[in-house]
Order: sequence, then C-alpha cells, then structure tokens
Amino acid sequence: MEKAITFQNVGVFYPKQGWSILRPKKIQEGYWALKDISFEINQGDNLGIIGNNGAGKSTTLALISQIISPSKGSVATYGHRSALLSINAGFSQSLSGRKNIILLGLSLGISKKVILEGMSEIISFSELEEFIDEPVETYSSGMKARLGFSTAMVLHPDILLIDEVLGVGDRNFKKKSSEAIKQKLRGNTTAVIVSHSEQTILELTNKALWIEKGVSMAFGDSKKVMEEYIAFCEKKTKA
Amino acid sequence: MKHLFDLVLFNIGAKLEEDTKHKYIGYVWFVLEPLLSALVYYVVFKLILHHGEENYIVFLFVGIISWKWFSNCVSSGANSIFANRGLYKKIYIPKIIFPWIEVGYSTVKFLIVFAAILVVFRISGHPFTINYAYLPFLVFCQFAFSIGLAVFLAAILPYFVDLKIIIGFFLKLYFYPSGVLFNLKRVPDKYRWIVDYNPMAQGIESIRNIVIKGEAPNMQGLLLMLGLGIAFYLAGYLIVSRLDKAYAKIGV
Repeated sequence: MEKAITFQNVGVFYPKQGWSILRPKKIQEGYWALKDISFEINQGDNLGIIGNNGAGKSTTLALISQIISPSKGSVATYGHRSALLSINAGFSQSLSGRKNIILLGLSLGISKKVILEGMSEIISFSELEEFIDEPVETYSSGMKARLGFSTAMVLHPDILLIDEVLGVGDRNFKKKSSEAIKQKLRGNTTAVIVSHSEQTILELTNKALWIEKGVSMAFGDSKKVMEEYIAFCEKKTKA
Repeated sequence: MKHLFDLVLFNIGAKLEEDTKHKYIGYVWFVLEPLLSALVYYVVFKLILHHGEENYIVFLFVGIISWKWFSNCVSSGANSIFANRGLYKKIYIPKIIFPWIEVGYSTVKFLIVFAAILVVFRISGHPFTINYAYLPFLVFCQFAFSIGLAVFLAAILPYFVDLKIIIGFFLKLYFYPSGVLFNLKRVPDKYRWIVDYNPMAQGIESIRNIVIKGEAPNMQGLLLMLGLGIAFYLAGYLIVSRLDKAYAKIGV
C-alpha cells in the first residue's frame, strides 16, 4: 500500500497577533492548538477525525492541505494535493462565475488547461448555466457555495478534505452533492472527513482518529475508535 | 513557475475588470485622476504662488504618474499578504504572488497612462529623440525598486500591522523630497544629498528629462534604484519563503 499522509508527533503553535517591536517578547504569546498528533493513512483510505469542539480537528485539516506547517514534529503528504471541498473564499465579486471558476482553480494549484477542460462539467454540476456569465456579486450565498463546491469537486484534488458538511446549497443540491461525495469515497479516493456525526464516520470511513485537546487519543479502525470515543464522552457526562 | 505566472496574470486582469466595471468612464479615470491632481498643484503653485517650472502642467503630470505608480505599488503591495489572509487560511497559495499581483496591477495602470501621454506628445508634434530608447530600462529600474520594497514590506507587515500606518505616513513625507512639484536643480547645495541619494527623486527627474526634454537619464540614479530593488527583493523573498506556511498561523 502506498502511503498518503503521515503525521509524527505533530504540534502547532498559533502566535498571538500584534506583537510590536517595543515588546518583542509578545511573539511568544499564543497557544498550542495541537500538541502531539501521530497517525498514518494509505492511498484509498478514508479517515474520519472526531473529537470535541476545539480539539484541533480543523488545524489537522489545515496541516494536511499544506496551509500551515507544523511547529514541531513532521507532516508528510507524499506530493499529494488536497483541498477543502466547501470553499467560498477567493471569489472576485464583479467577475463572472466562469472567470471565478478559473480564478479558484488556479488558486487551488490547477493548470489553466485542466480547468478549461473541466469547465463544462463544473458548470453543469453547479446547475448555474443561466447565471454563469453573470457577476458573482449577483449570486445568492447558496449559488456561491455551489460554484465553489462544483469547482473543487470536478477538479478533484488527490486528497478530499471535508469539514463537517457533506453537501452544500438547498435541499436538492445538498442531496446531490453529498451523493457525489459518497460515490467518490466508495471509489479509490483518499479522503479526510471531520464530523460530529457517528453515522457519517461509521458509514463513510474505514479509519478514524480521535483528538482530545490537541493530542491524539486513539487511531485505527473507525468502529473501534468510535466506541472508545463514545465511552469516553459518556464517562465524562456522568462525572 | 508557469502556473504562478498564470495566476498572477489572471488576478491582474480580474483587478482591472473589478476596478473599471462599475464606472461610466472606467479606463478614462486612469488618466483623468492624475490630471486633476496636476491641475490642483498647478493652480496652487503657478497661479497663486507664482512658482513653478516651464511647461509646468506637463512637468507636474509626468511627475505625478511616476510617483503614483511607486506609491500605489508600495502601499498596496506592502499590505497585500496581510490583506489576503482570508484566502490563504482556506487554500494554500504561495504568498509571494500577492505583492506581484498588486505591483503588476499598478504597473499596468501606469503603462496605460504613460502610453497615452506618448501618443498625445506624438500627435502634438513633440520631438522624440534617440534618448527615448532609455525608457524601457528606466521603467524596469523603477519596477524593480517598487517590487523589491513591496515584497520586503509585505513579508514583515503581517507580524507588525502598525507598519501599514507608518508606510502611509512615510509615503506622504517622501512625496516632497522626490521632486514631484519642483525641479531638483532648485535644491540648495546644502541639501543636495537629500535628492542625490534619493532613488525616487532620481527616477522622476530621469523620466522627465527623457520625455519632456529628450535628454539622457542619470544612469547612477537608475542603477541606485535597480540595486536597492534587487537587495530588498532578495531579503523579502527569503523572509516570505521561510514564513510561507507560518503566515496562516498568526492570530487565528
């Protein structure tokens, strides 16, 4: 099996903003969002990340997508590109939807040629045909979400990252988009899913990582890790 | 590399479209805005204070577009990495492209206006001398100076956001000794050093000498710009590459 992601004793420190030259010590202020995370997944694995709020799940996703570097330990993604599926950043408001697809695709590190090849599929998946040449500032927030999702979905990165929500947009599009994701996950795609839903984790992932206060508590078979996590949560509520 | 080039180019195009789309006379403003500034200085200095150079309105206009190009590059370029934090906290993007987009955009704007002036000069029968051949090199030197400063300042600004205000003030201050409003020859010997070792003063004087008088530029001044630009760029580039994946961790 080929490796896809390796984390070794990873820690991430977020410095506080606004240190000044007069008080250089302030740069040391901040907090450790992750303290000690280790796990490894192979290509084709679907990893679920579970844990309570503020445990460091989104920081783990940011490390996988190379947005940030670890402050200690090491992260390897073996040359795989990964991106969040639900992107609504980076739109240029007065540009058309079509141009924003190119802009977002280029920002995701995809070549212009590949973007243009995928253009018609992106447009039809987003169901924005009539509006695609209108400026994005005229779109509703649901339409923008559809545009971002479809672009990321069609120009699929090597590793899919999913933060909480499977689908976007209205009821119908949500159903369609989560169906499309599920289909990809059943295939050979590598994916990392952050979710609070027990059902989502058990249904869609084969491996799971449980994080508590920045430390990895358990990693392995989804079902087993989920059981441990649930037992831990129940114990905590009783106490 | 090719990909980053595409990304920068596409973003410059997007900014141009964004900037002109909602205005009735989008591109005309590129020329009209500096022209209005020139008129204000003309009224104040020439008409009211009876001061000023020969052909003062053209003198002012050339100086203003050169200065605006520089000051836009530095102020928006310096802020560019910090301003895009919403984007690079969601998607990984090499941070070096942000100052390139801003400086590229200001440069395109400058070139449009500059080309317009040359066309007007040509039509009005102004003689083009052989020294006009220096223009591409001059533009290149000022570009190097601007991108160098922009990248260097953009690299450190996210850690020291107060710099934004300091840069704004510095640019206001630096406007005066850059000789936008007066001929450098008027500066008394005692203060010569302020303009002699001043890259923008040398740059603005050179562009005027070529365009208005058809004289050769001051090569030392241009090389000073180029050298400083390269030095700032290298320093800034080193910092940006080191902190490329650290910027997204600030103040989350």
